[in-house]
Amino acid sequence: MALLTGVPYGTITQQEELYLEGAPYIYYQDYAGPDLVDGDGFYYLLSGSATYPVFQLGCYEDVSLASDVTVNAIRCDNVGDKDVIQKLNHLELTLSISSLFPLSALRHILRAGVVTAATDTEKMGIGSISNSQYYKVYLPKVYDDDTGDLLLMQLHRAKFVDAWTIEMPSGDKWMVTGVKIWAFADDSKPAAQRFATVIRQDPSVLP
Amino acid sequence: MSEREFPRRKPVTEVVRAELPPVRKEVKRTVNVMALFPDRLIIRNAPTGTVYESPRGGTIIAVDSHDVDYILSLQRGPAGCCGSAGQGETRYFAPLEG
Repeated sequence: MALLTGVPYGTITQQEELYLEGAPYIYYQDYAGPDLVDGDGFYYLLSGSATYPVFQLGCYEDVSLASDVTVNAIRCDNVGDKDVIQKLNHLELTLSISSLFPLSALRHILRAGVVTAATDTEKMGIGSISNSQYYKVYLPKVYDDDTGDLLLMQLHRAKFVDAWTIEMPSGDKWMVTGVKIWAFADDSKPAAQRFATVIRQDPSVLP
Repeated sequence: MSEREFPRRKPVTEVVRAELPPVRKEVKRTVNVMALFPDRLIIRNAPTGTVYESPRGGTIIAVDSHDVDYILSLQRGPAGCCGSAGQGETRYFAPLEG
């Protein structure tokens, strides 16, 4: 009886007793790399090549993904807020990374210049920041290694932004903190996937 | 005017043909390889002393055949960190098929 248990009438979708733990893997690739789309029209996954390699971030912590939304209430002073107008501006992935090498991967995070690798050396400069460099960012999280269940997110048109800090503490590892990736609207994707795509694969639960 | 006597030439009875050694032309053969390093890469230690340079990943460069084994054996180390499961590319160059 609904009145005794408090259960509402009609169709009810319950959430699952399933909790994720830990950070996903983080891959990024030049935006000019190939788009991969599945049969249902969802854009995700990366395919690395010599021209557009996929970089994998190594050891990192404090990963979080957030949205930046403009929210303006429709306020009627006589009655209060009647509604709200919301606009998604961008998504923001933040993290701190302690893997610094190779410089050819780090230079994207620091927005440094092209690396020159020669005999026994890697060299790069830190100069002006390119404002025309975009990336695809792929975040797969396998939450059941036995069955291969995974949740993945893909940020379609992203950029490393904001100021970074390389912390150099005594008795502890160096770490680049303040790493931020903003995912912008990508007009080349369907409107519903303009900022990102989220895919869950879990054959034991899903039809 | 006295007649001068010139020594008589012996009749030619044998032709000796000098065989010149065949000319060996040094043909410089090259093999195309593709750079896998994503940025600018300069190789100065090749066996022939040739300096090879690739401005970016995906660049195809012609390598002296004497240097190919060396170029293709160049590898980055150590292995990738944290979950790459050995799938990361460690080579600097890859052979082109065909």
